[in-house]
Amino acid sequence: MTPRRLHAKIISTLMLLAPLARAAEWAPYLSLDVYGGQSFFSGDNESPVTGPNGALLFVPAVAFSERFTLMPSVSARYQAVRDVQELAGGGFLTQEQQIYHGDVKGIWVLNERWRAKARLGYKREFIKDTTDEPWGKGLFDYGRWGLGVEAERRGDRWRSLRWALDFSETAFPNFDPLTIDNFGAEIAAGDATLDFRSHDATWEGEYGFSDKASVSMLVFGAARPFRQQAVVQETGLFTGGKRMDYYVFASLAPRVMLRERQFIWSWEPSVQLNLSGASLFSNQNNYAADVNVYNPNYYDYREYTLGTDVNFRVAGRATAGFGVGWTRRGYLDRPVQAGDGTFTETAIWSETLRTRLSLGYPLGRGFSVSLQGAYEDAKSNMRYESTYRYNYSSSNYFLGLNYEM
Amino acid sequence: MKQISLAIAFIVASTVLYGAEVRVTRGTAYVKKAQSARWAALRGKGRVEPGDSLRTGANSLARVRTKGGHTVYVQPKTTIESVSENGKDTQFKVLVGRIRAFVQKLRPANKFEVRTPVAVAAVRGTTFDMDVSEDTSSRLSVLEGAVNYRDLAGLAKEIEVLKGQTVLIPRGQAPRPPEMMPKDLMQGAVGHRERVRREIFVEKRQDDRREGFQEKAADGQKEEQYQLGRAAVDAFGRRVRIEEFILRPAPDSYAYVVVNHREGRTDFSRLDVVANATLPSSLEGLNLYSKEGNSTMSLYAKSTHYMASNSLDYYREWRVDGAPVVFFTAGRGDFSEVVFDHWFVEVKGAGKDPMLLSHWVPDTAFKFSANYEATKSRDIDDFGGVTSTPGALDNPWGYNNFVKVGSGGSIGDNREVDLLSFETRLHYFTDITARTKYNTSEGYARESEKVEFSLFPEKIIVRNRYLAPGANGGGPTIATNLWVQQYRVAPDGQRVSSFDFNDVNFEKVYSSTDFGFRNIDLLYSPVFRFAMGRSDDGWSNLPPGY
Repeated sequence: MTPRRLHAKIISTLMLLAPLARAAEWAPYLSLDVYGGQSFFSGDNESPVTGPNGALLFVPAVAFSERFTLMPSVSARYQAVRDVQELAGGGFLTQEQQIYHGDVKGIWVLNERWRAKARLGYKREFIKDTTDEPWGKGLFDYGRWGLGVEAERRGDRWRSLRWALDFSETAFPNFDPLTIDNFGAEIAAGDATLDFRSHDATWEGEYGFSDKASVSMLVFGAARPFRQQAVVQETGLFTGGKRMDYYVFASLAPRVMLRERQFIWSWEPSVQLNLSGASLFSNQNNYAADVNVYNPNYYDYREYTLGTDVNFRVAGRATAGFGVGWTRRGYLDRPVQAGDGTFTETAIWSETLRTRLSLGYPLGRGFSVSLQGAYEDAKSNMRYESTYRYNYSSSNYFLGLNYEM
Repeated sequence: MKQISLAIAFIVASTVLYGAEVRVTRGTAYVKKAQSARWAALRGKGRVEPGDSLRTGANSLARVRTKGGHTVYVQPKTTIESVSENGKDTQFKVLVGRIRAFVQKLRPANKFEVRTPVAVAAVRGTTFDMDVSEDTSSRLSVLEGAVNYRDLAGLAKEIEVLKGQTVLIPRGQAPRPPEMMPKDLMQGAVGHRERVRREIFVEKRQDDRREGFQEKAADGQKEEQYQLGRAAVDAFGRRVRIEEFILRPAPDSYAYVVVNHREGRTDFSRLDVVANATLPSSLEGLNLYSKEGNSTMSLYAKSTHYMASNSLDYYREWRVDGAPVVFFTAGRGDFSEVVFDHWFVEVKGAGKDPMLLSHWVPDTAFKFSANYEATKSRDIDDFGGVTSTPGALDNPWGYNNFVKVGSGGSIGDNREVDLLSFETRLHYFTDITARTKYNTSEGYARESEKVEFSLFPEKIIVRNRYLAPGANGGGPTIATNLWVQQYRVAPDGQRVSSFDFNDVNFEKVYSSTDFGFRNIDLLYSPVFRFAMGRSDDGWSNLPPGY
C-alpha cells in the first residue's frame, strides 16, 4: 500500500468514526500499584524473597451511546514477591513473573433489564523459575487467547444474573516433551502435552435481601480437551486416546453490612462468608515408570473451601480487612507415597489454612497507601516430597502505593 | 499530512458545533418549542434550544448535554426549560420534578445556573440535585463541590451549600438551614462517566474471576510437572527435567526410558528387556531376574540391553541367553537367579568406532546349581544387625558371591566383602582393599579401581580398566578406560549421604577416554535403585550390574 493510499484510508476511517467520536463519552480508568515486600517459605526467614511488585491496568472505556460501551483494557504485572498461594508446593515454583493481558469487551444495553456482552482477549505470562531460563524462555511460559459472550439481567431482588459462554486456548510455547527429539513417535505421550482448550459455561447471580444484605452465587463448568496429551494406560503405554478434563466449581457468598460502630473512629463493618466446592475429573492416569506402578484416576480431586472476610471502612476513609480461609483437597485415587517414594493404598489429601490482613489509606489525588500481609499453612498426608512440597508454611507482606485515575 | 489535519479539524469542529443534545434513555419525553404550545413526543435523540421546554413522563428519563460539556439528567415527571445556552453560560429552569446536574469546571466569566420558581443555584463546577415539588418548594443537594443558593424573593442572603449538604427553600420562605444529605443519595451521586467507570470495576472483577479459573488450570499443568518430578530446580537455580517412560516394543519385551535435560544438554538411557514368554499387560510387581525358593522361574529375562547416551557418545551393556539357575544359600533358603551366557560392555565416542571392552561368559559349571552355593547377604542379621525373618530379602543392597562347593573357589565376582561395612552396598565395583579383578572365561578381565569414595555425601568414582583376552584371565590393558561415578542427589541438586534414602535422586556419570572431555550424565528418579519390577519386599530387581 502506497503512503498516499494509506493516508486516504486513514482519513476515510476517521471520517467514518467522526459521528461515533462526536457521540462518544470517554471514561478512562487507570490503576497503578507499586509494592515492595518479602515472602517466606516454611519459616525460612534467613533467605526470604525480597523485591518489588507492580501492576498497571488501563481501561480506556468509551460509551458510544447509552446503549453501547466498548471496554478495551490492557494490563501489565510484574511480580518478584510471591503470593502465598503461588508458593504452594515448592519454594522454587516461581521466582519472577511478568503478565501482560489485553482484551476488548463490548457491552450492549438491550433494555432496562438486559445486557449482552462479547469479549476477546489475549494473555501472555512469562515465568522465571530458574537462573538459566531468561525472560521469554521459561519452561512454563504460556499464552492464552479467549473469547466469550454473556447475557446479563439486572433487576431488583436479583440484582444481577449472568450467563456466560467462553472459549480459550492455552499454549506453553517453550514446553516440549524431552522424548520428542530422542524417541519421537515411539513414545506417543504427545507433542505439546500441556496445551489445552477450555470450553466454559458460567452462571452467576447476586440476590439482595436488603440494601445491606445480599448473596452471590456462581456455578462454573469447563471441559478441557488436551489436543496433544495422550492418556497412559495400565500397560504404561500412551494408547488411551487424548486427555480430557472436566472441572466444576460452585460458590456461595452471603454478605452483610453491619451497623456502624464508634471506637475512637467510626467503623463500618461488612462481613462475607465464602463457601465453595470444586471437582476435577480427568481421563488421564499416571504410570510411575521407574517402579512400574499404574495409578488410575490420578488427577481427580474434590476441593472444598470455607472462609470469611471482614472488611471495615474506618473514619469514612481508611479501609481495614481480615480474612481467613480453609481449603481441603482430596484426591480420589492418587495414592500417598511414603518418604522413599513407595506407593501406599491411601489417597492423598491436603489442607491449607490461609489468613490475610490489609490496611489502606487514601492520600488524596487518587493515591492511596496499602499494607498487606498473608500467612498460609499447608499440611498433607503425602510424605514423598522430593520434588514437591505438601507440608509447608508460607507468608508474605507488602507495602505500597496505589494510584487510580 | 495535510489531509489528516483536515480530517482531525473536521472531527473537532463537528463535535464543538453540535448543540444541546437530548437523549431519551427510557420511555418517551416531550419537547415544546419556544414559540409553540404543542408538546411533541421525543424518543431517542433530539435537541433543545433556549426557550424550549422538556418534559418527562412517569417512567421516562432523559439526558441533556450542553455545548459547554455539562450533563443534566432529567428524572421522571420533570419539566425543565432551557433559558440560555451558548456554550459559555447555561441556564436551566426546573419547573417541577428533579434533575441531577454534572457541571464541568467553569471559567470565571462563565456561569451555570439552575432556577426554580422560588430559588436559584449558581455553580462553578460540581454535581448536584435539584428537586422541585408540586408547590415549587426547591431542594438543592450537593454531591460534589459547592453551590451558591438563594431564594428569588430575597428573604435571605445567598448561602453556600457544601458537598453532602441539602437545603430546602419552601415556597414563600427563606432557605432552611443546611442538613446532611442521606447516605443513599450520596452513594447514587454518579454521572454517566462515573457509572461507566463503575461498570468497568464490575466487569473487570467478573472477567478476572473467570480468568482465575483458566490461570488455575494453567498453573495446574505446571504443578503436575513438579509433582511428578519431571521438572525441578537444582541448587544453583538451574532447570532440571527428568522424564521416564515404559515402552512395549513386543509382547515379550518392555523398555524403560529415562531422558534428562539440564544445563543445555540432553542425556538419555534405555533399558530393553526381552522375556522368555509373553509378558502380562501390567508390569507391576514383575520380577524377571530372581525368585525365592528352589522352583524354576516360569517367566524370566532372556536378554537385556542398556544404553546411556549424551546424544554424541554412548555406553552400552547387554546380556543374552539368560536362564534361571537355582542356588543354595545354606541356612537361608534357596533362590533362583537368571544367569546370562554372554555379557558385553561397549563404549563409543563421537566419530570413533565402537570399542568392545568386555565379553564375559560364565564358567560352564556355574550353570549347574549343584556345583555352587551363593553367599548372598540377605538379612539384616547377615551384617550382625537385628534378626529379621529368615530368608526374607529385606536387605536391598545385597550382593552375590558364588562359591564353588567343596573347593571354595569363586567365580564371577571374586571380591572379599566386609560384611560389617556399608561399603557392601557398592555391589560389584568396589573392594574395600582397593581393586576388584573380574575374570572372564574368554579371557577378558576388568580391573575396577576405586578412585574416590565417600558416604557423606555419597560419592563413588570407579575407574574400570579392561584387559584384552590373554593368559590367566587377562592380556594387555585396553587403552579405553571407563569411569563410572555415582551420587545421591537431593531435589535441590545438592549431593547427599547414602543414608538419605528419602527424597533423593541418583546420578550416574559415565566418562571414557573415548568420550574426550564429554560425559554421559544421567539423573534417575529417587526410586530407580529399586526399579524395574521391584518385588514386594523391596529387593532390587535390576539386572546385576546396573
